[in-house]
Amino acid sequence: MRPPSVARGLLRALLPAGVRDEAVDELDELYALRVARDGRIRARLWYWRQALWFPVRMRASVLASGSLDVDGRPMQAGKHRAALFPWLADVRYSGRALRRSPGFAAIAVLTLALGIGANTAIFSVVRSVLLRPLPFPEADRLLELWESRLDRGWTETSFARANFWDVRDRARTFESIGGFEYNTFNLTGGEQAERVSAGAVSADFFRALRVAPVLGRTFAPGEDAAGAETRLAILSHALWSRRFSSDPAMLGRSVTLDGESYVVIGVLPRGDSWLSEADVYVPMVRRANLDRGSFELIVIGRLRDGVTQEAAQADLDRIARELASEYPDDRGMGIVTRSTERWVANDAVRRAIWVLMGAVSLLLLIACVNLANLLLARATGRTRERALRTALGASPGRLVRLYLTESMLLGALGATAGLGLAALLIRLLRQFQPGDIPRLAEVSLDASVLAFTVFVALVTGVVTGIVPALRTPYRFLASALRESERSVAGNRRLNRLRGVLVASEVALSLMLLVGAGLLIRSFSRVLDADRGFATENRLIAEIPIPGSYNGERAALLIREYVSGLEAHPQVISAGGVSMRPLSGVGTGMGYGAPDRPPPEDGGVPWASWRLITPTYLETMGVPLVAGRNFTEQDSLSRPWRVVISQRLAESLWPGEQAVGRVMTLWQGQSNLAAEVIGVAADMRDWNLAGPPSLAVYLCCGAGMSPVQIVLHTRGRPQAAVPAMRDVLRALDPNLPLYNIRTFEELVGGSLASRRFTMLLLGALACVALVLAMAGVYGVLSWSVSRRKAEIGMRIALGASRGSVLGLIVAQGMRPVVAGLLLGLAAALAVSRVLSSLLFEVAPADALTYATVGLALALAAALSCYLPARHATRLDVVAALREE
Amino acid sequence: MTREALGEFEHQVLLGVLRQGGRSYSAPIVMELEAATGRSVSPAAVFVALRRLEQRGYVRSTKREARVGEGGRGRRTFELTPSGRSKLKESRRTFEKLWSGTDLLGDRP
Repeated sequence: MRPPSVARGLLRALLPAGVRDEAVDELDELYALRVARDGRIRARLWYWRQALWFPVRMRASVLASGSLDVDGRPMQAGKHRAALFPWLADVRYSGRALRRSPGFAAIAVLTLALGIGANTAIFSVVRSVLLRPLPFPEADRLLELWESRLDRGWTETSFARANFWDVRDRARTFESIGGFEYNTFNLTGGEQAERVSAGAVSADFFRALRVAPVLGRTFAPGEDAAGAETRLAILSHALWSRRFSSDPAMLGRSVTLDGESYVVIGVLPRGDSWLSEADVYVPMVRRANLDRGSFELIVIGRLRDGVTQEAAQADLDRIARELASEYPDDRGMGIVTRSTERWVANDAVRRAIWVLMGAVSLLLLIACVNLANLLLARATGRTRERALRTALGASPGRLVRLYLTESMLLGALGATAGLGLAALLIRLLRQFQPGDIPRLAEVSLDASVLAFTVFVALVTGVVTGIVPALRTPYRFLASALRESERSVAGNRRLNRLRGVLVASEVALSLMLLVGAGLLIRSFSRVLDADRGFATENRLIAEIPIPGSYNGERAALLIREYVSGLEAHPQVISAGGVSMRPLSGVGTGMGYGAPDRPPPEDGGVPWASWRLITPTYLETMGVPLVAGRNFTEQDSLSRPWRVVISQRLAESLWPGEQAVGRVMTLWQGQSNLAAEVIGVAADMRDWNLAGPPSLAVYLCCGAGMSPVQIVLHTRGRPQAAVPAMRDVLRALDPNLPLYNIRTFEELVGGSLASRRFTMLLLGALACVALVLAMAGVYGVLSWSVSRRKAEIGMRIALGASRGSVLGLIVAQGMRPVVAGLLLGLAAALAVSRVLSSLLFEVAPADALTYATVGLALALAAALSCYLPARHATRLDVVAALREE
Repeated sequence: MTREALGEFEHQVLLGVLRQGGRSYSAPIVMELEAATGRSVSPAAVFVALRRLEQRGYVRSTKREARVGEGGRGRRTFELTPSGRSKLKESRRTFEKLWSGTDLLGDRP
């Protein structure tokens, strides 16, 4: 009866050679006895357990008793451990050596902890934001589909409804194609009416994602067909647990959305980015004669097994050509596919995270260089010890191992401390809520992050230890044994090596400082940029108009609400707008003018449009530059009248009067002619770190009304919130007021991720600076302490203290200057990766480079001055006598 | 020769050797102990305990070369030493003294 061979092999591998045969024989015999007693399966299980446990238990017992060798024989004290764990002696030796110099050990471990901790923290972000796959099975087969109209300059636009259904019907390379349209509902029937976000999805949507509901089912094929029973709803996990306390009996019950009853047929699993975007999903119904002119659907497709993205693209190109020839509205149509990677993080966030990852890698590199330098200094101090060991028969390999063990031990200690630091940093990150970094709540120190840390620690140990470890003298043993340690300090090659290390440290930290400097300059540029609108004492809130309101009633409500607010003593003015400033979402249109030739490249320029009440611009503090504002008599449609932003006016009629001219709205689509009645000053209400918006303002009316209410208040804007609620309650007690923000909060929110990147990179750069300066200081002060006699001699021979000071500072600054030049060149070369994060600052911004370079040079000079001053205050007599 | 007391497990292992006729190797001792205690016994623990007992002089071991027809590539056999025998006697006497005259468990008539 043979024991399991894998387990037996494992056992042999794990046991020390001295006891291997005996122990394996014994376990084999016990195995045979156990098969007879307990049966084969239980015996095999038992053997496996022993295979893992026996070696551990044996080593542990031997260590604990401390007096047996691998053969179980009594041994001379101290030898057994070396026999069982050959490297243990080195670890113990290194541990003792480190304990003897606690200052060095503390600095080394702290340095590494900073480097490794920062890396671990940022890597855990990289892992959960960028590396962890989407939570959908075979997510690599999922693609985003977008329409394009290259003739109008649209490279990527949402799908028109009719086109979506046609593509779904005609595509051959996709297993399923699903559409999603964003919507909102008023959810009533509980204690409080609530605005919920909703997705109208085609029946294939969840099939394409392959999302399995935790309760019930998803939409069945045909439930999106015209005439089907479509009052069905699927709840998101978040809404189900928040609003319905995770009640499984919700299945089959009804919920009231916008006053209509929907039957709950399913509950989705706990959501990730994509699924948690909507609280509730309803079927998107296919109707006849759908629109091909407005682009609203997000479309995803799951490729058939084995289909490449290129094949799918060819298939989609064919469909686009067919549609373009069949429908006039689809002229110029194209379909593009995009990877679904960016569902988790958009390109800007991805780039920012990679920049941070690069920054922490630089920091770790600096920490390694710093430590290598320290270890080198230590190793030099131990030259005689090495020579002695070699003379006594230690092989070069043995010595390398000994010194590598020391750096590995430091790496391990640093990693342990770094993990603690990383946990702290992650907690800080979460608290900081840096804007739009997704999945931040999921960031944690999981197994793969731990593996990363262990890997980093190993690499660190080898990298920092290898240089000093290899510097063992073999050839000139006798002279090394004779030489005093001090004269070793004069070794030129060694000094050059240390200079190179200092220079590279300075160069690396300069790169980080330049990066941080550029971001800081950009940030202050963003803050200083003319926003165009006022933020003091301004407030914005949103009124969700339910579907039960028709257009007329909604318009009346908004008009009454705005005038009610304006009558309130706390309010200076109030206005309404259809697009929330700085929200990152909005509406756009192609534009042109009949008296302007269309652009030569055939593209249509694009402007954002918003519906406003006549009081909006005034409430925002935006002055009119020319013409007049809307009045109560103006209305949305015929005759079409618009107020446009100054930049838009300039783009159409540069240097000319715009008021009174005619422009074309929705150029390339409905081509409406509109009279320009006024020109408003520019504002950056789309993105603070971008050019001012090209904006077309349309007057509300004709059943169209804005739902974002802006308020300019007397005194603190928050104080006006109760008044806002009171006025609304008087008009309709069922309407909630939500998303209330001061303008300061809007601005702060839109800058959050920029500020976060800046602060983090700034903090990293500061740490890097401190490390580099510690390196400069350490090397120089070590060198001064070894050159006491020489310096003493110089002073004794009449050198002035000033000239000694100059000599030493100059010596210290030489590698610094080299590092500065190197760092400036390197920063110039790589700062381009930052360009997407910059605003009105060039990656090669001279001022930043000069400031940073100067600051670093000053800091380095100070780091050199301290040891130099120490040298000038030498007790000359004592220094000379020492030699 | 140390005079310190035997640990409980070492005591059991030593008794296991005795019950095997004063001369045995570790596999039968493991089985013997399992039968006596009704619990699973770790072979590694017995392995280590035997070597520790040897170090303290209560058993001595010999390593036989492997022979044809006999399992193992050189089984180590442990044998009670006189010192081990007297240690067992001594601890038995101690325990009997301590037990005599007590009826704590209520199992005396």
